[in-house]
Amino acid sequence: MRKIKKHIGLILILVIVIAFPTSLSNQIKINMRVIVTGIAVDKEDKNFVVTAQIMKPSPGVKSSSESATIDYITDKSETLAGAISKLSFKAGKTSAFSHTNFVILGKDMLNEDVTESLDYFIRDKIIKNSALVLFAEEKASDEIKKTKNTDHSVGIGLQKVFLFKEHESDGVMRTMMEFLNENQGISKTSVVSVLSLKSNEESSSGSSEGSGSSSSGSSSGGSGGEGGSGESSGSSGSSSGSGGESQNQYFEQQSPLMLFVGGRYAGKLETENEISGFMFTNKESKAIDVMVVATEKERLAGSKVEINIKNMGCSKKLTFEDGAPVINIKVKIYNAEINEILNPEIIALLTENEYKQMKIDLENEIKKRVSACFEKSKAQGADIFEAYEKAYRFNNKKFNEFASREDFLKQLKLNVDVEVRKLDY
Amino acid sequence: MSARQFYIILFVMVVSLKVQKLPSLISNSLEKDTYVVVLAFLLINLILICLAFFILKKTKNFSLENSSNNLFLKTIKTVLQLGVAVYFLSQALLLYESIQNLFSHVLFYELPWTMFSLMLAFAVFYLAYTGIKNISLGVELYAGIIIAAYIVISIFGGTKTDFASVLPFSTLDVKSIFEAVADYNIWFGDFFLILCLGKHTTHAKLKWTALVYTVAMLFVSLLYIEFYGIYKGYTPMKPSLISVLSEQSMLGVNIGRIDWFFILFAEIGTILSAGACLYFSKQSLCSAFPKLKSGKALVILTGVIYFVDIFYLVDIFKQEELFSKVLPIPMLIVKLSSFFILFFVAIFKKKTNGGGEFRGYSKANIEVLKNENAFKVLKLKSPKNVMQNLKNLTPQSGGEKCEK
Repeated sequence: MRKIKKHIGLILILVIVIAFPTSLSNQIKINMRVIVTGIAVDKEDKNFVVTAQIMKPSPGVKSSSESATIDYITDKSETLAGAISKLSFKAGKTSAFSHTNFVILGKDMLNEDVTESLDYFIRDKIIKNSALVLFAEEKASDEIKKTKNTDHSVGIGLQKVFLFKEHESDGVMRTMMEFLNENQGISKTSVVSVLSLKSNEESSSGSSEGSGSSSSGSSSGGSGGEGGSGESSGSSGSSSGSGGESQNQYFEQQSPLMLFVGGRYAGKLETENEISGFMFTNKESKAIDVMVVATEKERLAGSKVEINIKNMGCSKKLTFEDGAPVINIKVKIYNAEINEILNPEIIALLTENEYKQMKIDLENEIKKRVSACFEKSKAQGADIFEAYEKAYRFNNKKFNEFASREDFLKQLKLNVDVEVRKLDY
Repeated sequence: MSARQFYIILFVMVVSLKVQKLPSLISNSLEKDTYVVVLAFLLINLILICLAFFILKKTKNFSLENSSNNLFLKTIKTVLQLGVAVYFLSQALLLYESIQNLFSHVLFYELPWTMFSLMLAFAVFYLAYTGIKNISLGVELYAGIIIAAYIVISIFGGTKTDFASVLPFSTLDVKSIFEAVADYNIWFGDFFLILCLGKHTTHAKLKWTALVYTVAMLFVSLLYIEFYGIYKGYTPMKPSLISVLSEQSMLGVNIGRIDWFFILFAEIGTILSAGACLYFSKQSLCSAFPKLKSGKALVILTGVIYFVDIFYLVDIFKQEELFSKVLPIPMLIVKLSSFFILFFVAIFKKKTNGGGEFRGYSKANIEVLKNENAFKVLKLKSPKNVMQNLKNLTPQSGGEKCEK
């Protein structure tokens, strides 16, 4: 008895540690859960229409993604929170929203301040605000359903796909938090990718089969190497998301980038020049393909040259010249390679002059594209290079001389400097 | 506790208290200048730490717990000890509430927390029950993983931080910073913590303590910069710094947030710190009411923490009211009063040949008596010699007592 009294504390701890957890009756079994991997949000009149992409683990199988099925459930409510909670009931099981890695917003959301509509995602602690934000050109619910016919792990892991696409300068991986911060920040400008999935018949030739951009092939590689770009079949189920049956869906290359100013839709970067011009200045973008028309006057005159940039970087600095703000962008090409020269003559080696001229041509092409991006975004009132914020942070005195952000943008000029350090051929 | 344990427990307690909800509260008014409050308190506390060490050196055998026959002094002593107990209870409550919040709102929101919070309360109770030596031993054992966890979390957070967000410095609003220093001082009573911890160790050095404290506070200010640099205008809406700092860096990882392992390791330090604060609270309460037994006092204090957390602090307005409006000034008065009473005792304590109980003894024998270890050795090995030595002392009372 004495020994028991002496060790009563230890006995109590052992009893609690052993007995308490095992007596929990509300432990959720894996097959009672649905994992919500993505959400699509549309606006219909005054209601939010939410479509969730859910993964249902197959009963009797361990949690292997290949044994899970993708499905979609939709519901609507006056508020996002209401619609999302209704989804849980519709699923019939416990919905795990903590794995949600992307949110697609539909065209109807663009009619008002998007950041106000996304208030739910700021406050909710379950859905991570590191989830990827994408926009659909039409209905987000239609676009999300197409993901069923992509490669399985691609469809549920869009965030990983867009991380890779951004690295390859084929899209922007903007998290919810970044999107909200940028819209509410000093420059009030944010850039978001459009999610555009095309089927085999819809996609234009060369846009998804071994094109210069390696994003479509690598998107499968980035998600576990399951199948190549042209061969992946809908491994996750037999019913198609939309359109015909068992159509393979592919990410459209160089889909437009949407510009937002203060949470409101301001315009798009649509042309290749504008999109790639932005990518050259995006710090997460490291690789890109550029086609240059050689200006060398002899052998190469007028030849189209495909250059693959393997590694690049960019720095931005704001200065003032005669009271006017100038955003100085320096693009550094650390490693590039000439992949293809379309010329009647096969040119094995370039002469020194040709080589120098090729570098100059590449620099000029990059400058042209960055300028195109700058002019387009400036026309739409977007401070795409965050010049206004740089002025606030690094030159506050001069910043205060401007009456407003619009006044600053009107006077803003661009100066692009390109340095090509290595060009192989 | 050893000096090493003292430094480690100091670091862990200083950091863990400040990386919970506090930065969200401060950023509501100060935004990008939140970290300045930490630096301000670093300067203030460094000065007070120097004074604390002076006090510890001079008042080794004196404390507010010494009994006095003077009723007025007794009342003052009781009130101050009670105040100190409430102060450390509020610290324990802050830490306890942050862990409970992490588990109940972020990790396991489906569980009934009125029940499961009992387990957490028991853990904190047990830690305080085992005493400061065991707590410091525990902190020393887990120091590696706790500190590594903090470092890893800060590295993850740093990869997504816009460090330029603290600029420009020219817009620093000094008035707002002073107001924040006044409102949130309850989180920054580290000088008082050092005074209480210092009583349990004899080997801590001022320079190392100041260095450890400076490193801890600079680390906290770095975390505040990262926190604001990631979340910017949305920082006040975030539940706690430690749970969200690394969230934005875990992108494209299939298995979810692996950084949660590090957050939980870091929270081990928070639980241990809560236990230490509860221990100090219990000590002060027992000295205020000598008849109250240690175990009972702990049960009462743990019960207060549990019930206040579950039933009172559920209201976030009451939380803010309690910690930013109600408690700061009284607790500051208690801390500073206790501190400066001890300081004045340290200054005005009379220096005699032996000082204090050694007053009147001849100088030749003082060294023997002052060196406690030597005295004990003498006593054990050769009690006769000790008795002989003491008999030779003046006044006579020394010799008479020894004979008995």
